[in-house]
Amino acid sequence: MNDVVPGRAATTSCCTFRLEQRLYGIVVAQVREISPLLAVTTVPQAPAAVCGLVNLRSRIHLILDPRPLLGLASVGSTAESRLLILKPDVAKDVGLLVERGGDIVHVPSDRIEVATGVADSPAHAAPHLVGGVCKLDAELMMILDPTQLVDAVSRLFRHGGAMPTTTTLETIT
Amino acid sequence: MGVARLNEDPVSVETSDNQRFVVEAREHLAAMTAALIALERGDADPRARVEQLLRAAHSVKGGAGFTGRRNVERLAHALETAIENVREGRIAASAEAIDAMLAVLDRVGGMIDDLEHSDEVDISEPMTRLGPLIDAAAPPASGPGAIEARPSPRTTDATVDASMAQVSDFPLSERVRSGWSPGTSFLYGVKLDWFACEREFGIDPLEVARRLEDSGTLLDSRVDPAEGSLHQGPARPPLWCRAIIAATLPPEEFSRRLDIPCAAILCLQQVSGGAPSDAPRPAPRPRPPAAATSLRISVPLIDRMMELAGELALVRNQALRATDPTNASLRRLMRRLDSVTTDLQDAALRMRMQPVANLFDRFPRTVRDLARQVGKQIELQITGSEVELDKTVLEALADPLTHLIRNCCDHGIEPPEQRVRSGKPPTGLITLGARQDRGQIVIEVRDDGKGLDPEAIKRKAIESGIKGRGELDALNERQLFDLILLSGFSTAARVTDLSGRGVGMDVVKTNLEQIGGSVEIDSAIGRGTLFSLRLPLTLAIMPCQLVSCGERRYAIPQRDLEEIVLLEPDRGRARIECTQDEEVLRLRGALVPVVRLAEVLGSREPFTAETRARIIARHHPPKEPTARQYVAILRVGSHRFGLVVDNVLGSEDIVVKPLHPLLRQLGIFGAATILGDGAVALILIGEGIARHSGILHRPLVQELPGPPDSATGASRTLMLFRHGPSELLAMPLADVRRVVMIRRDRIERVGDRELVNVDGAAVGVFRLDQVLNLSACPDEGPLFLILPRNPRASVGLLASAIVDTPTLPFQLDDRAYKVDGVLGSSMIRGQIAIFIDVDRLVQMWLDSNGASRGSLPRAARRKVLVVEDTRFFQRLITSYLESGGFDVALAANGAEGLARLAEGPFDLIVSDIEMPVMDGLEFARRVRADARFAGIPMLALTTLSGPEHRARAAESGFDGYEVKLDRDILLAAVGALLGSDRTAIVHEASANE
Repeated sequence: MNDVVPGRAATTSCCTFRLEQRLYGIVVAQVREISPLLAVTTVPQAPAAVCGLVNLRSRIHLILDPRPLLGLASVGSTAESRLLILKPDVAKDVGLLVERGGDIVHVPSDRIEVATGVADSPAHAAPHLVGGVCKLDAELMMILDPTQLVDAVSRLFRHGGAMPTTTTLETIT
Repeated sequence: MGVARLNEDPVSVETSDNQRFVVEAREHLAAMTAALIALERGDADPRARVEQLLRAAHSVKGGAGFTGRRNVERLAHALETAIENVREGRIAASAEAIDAMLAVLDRVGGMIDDLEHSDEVDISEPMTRLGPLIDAAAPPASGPGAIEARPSPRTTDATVDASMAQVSDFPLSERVRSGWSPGTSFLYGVKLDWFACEREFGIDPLEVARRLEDSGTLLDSRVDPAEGSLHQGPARPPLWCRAIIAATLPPEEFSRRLDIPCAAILCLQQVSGGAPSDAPRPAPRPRPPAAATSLRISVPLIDRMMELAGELALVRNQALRATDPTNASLRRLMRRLDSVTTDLQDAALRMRMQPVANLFDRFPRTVRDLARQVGKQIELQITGSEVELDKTVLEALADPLTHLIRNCCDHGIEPPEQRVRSGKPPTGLITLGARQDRGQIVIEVRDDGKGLDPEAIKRKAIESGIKGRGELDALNERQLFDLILLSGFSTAARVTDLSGRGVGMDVVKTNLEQIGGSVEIDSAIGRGTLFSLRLPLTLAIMPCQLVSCGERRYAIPQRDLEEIVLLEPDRGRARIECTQDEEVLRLRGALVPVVRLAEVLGSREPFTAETRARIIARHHPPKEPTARQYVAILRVGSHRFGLVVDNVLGSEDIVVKPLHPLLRQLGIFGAATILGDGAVALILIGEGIARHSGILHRPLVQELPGPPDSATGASRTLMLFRHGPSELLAMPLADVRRVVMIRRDRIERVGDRELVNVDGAAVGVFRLDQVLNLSACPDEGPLFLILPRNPRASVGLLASAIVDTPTLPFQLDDRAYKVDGVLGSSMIRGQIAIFIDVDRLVQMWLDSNGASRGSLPRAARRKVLVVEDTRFFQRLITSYLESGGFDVALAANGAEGLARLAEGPFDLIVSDIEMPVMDGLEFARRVRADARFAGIPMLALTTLSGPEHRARAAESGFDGYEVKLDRDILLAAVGALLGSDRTAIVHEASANE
């Protein structure tokens, strides 16, 4: 993946990853690092969107699994799994469990559209989590808003930690 | 719950000048308060106190001037003047003068707390208060802001606040460098405020210039009209002058020569004997008088260091695994890495420690003020202020301790006339002491006041509806005293200004429990009251029991844990039963509700009656009726319950890490930690589990009859080690004084003995295979010497490996191994561990080496009758007593004991309470009833603790009471009983004949 778009216009850099084959991105400025998968200690009683705790250089990080929030089935970790650690000012000591993460794409900022509820689009499941959509050469990249992801998880805790499904998400939001 | 609170960072990073000033000023104010009180009480060296006061006032003034806080500066200056008057004898340090100065200190303290608005405060009142103290000086003051002071007559002004100036203030120009001869002179940077010199000290600018020139060779000087950001609204901005002066005088003399009190002096370059360097480096500044060895470090930085030390420990562990075990030099390197890592962690932890003096030092003032307020005479004695505590614990202790001290002043100590009437000195005494005790800190607040009146407590409890008459009558004295720790309880007849305002002693209890501490009260009417507080040394490290449930490991804080019970249904021991709607465990006759950790973790919703019914259906009848089960008995407040876990992995001091705020909402986890293999483990909160499983809503469980004994598989901390390759050996960790690593080539042979030098002393090397049938120590690999806690002989047990020091439930089987020197064997983590009798072994070693040194001559030895039914304890007590130089006779129960007594004179009886045939209480009554034995001191040594048991033992005739089983405590108790008893000496005399 090398969708570097040259040009004079302002560009936005996104760190990409895949979930269920779909392409997602998070603005690079919100990402601290991509780490290989570490041993995860699962947290009993926590919602499915909480993957568990990892020890990243002696700091304990909470790893979230965005899939249940996006209406995708949680599949756990695979050989392709990476940890996308967020910048502390976005969410302190929090990371996301993603697949094949790490490539950076630069897109002209004006090509990013505000996500609208396209019925067919996966963004439909949780529109507030998708900050924008950008059309690349071959496919759509959905730019996730990590702050909203963390908020969504904290709402799950407050609502008694019910298993997140598409329907409950919609009632919450 | 305490765990959740631990991680909130108590201190923000202090960086700016303002913050530094605030912190330092608070310290100075505290020091001044202490000095003033010492002065009033008649200090041994009043002059030193006054000097200390002057220095502190001067520093506060300097800092306030630097940060542009004019009001604080003025008050500090006024204080300084007043103190000078005291020093010059112009005014006396009377109680009134001290009162006035303390009041001003309070005002300054208040202004420092709210520094931003300090210049808006009206300070005419405190200034007026100080007026008489200042007017005593020759030049009359014309108003608060215009106190004229002569140039300070001080000659050794080492108090200049160097923080006002920085090396960067003095760039060394070419001119300076050429004008300075490094071999012969110092290079000083002087920074001063022209206006301050004139305003505060009456040194006019010309005079300042003259002094600057006279103090040495003036190489450079510049004047800065204003440093805008440094002041916030003072009447007149400082006019800074910076000068670079070369002088031959050393810093202190230079400062004296310069004689400008408000100048900050930096020593930029010292006299250097060697070649002058082209690039002058900043030399150390002249040291301020005290505080030279300490440094401010922000808590987050220390925490980061802890993290890094933890990281290093993990790298070490990985490296250890990757190390080729046959490579000796690499292994040595790894061991070194190992010990350095441990030391580093320890040092990082110690950086969080502060002396309790930081807290205690405020109490003389508290007591003095309270005493004056209520018209009592009270003296406060403080001991152990050097004892160190974690900063977080110290902060959490402040409120409860203040409350206790106030309580002593208000309710404890009587008014003077009443004290005199009851034959006491008119001045009441409060003692405040701190000491370390078994990894905890004990803080005692004792007063010699009127004591707690159990009857008054009962009346009050009935009035406030806390307890009914019947309930109260069932309580013993200690339990009655504990009532005053309940909320809404106050015994004071009248509500005073001090305490007894509804917020009561319950605050003390709650606050302490939050940090894992406890309070105990002891009191005697007319004699006084003692509050003993027990606290953990630190909250950053928590002793925990590691358990597993499924694949996962969890930590249970030791403070929630009472004991761990091993259920072995096939061996006829207790099993989990079920009542109508809950699972219970019968533990020494009491029913304890049982919760399964796996079920708690598996159910997101709090348990309902239905959940419980489902759980019972799932586990009863048990699928594997013979399976062993571990039940951790947890105590939460007054509730007790058992938590079924899959396995017990041992105890560990874990480094507590904050839990992500999201996860705190779950309620059952308090924090997290990183285990030795790098994995994250969650720390369970007993209270959260109890709440989740509905236990907290159920009626209180009955009091357990006593702490565990060996019959239920009690937990004990052991040291597991190896001598030869085959056997696993165990001994109580409490019996180990030290473990040292020794080098094989350093063992020297002297005759048929082997000796090794440990810290300059020759220590005998005891190879256990010399007296026991064990495999020999291997010829290769590391060697350790276990130094037992045995004062009799300088000998260490040789070991080839230290395996672990777990706290484990274990069953001692004393049938399999009937060997002298061995107490028994036990299954520990699937392996047979041989439990050695260290004292006996050492004796055997001494005998086999023909050395009986240390053991007392036979005739002088005293004879002790030990009445004890458990063989394990029989052996242990015997070996302890023999190591203390006593001869021991054994009896298995009270009836046997009486028979033994008839056989010969005994100096002392040590008896268990719970025994078959005839228990210890009956035994004691019979002994006391028999005129022949009535004089023999009796010590009850039992697993039963608690005041009621103690009281019953005393009624039956026991003179002492100790809980099993600590060697040193036992010997101390025995020593105390024998020492205070004349009959023992008579017996000894007859034994000598």
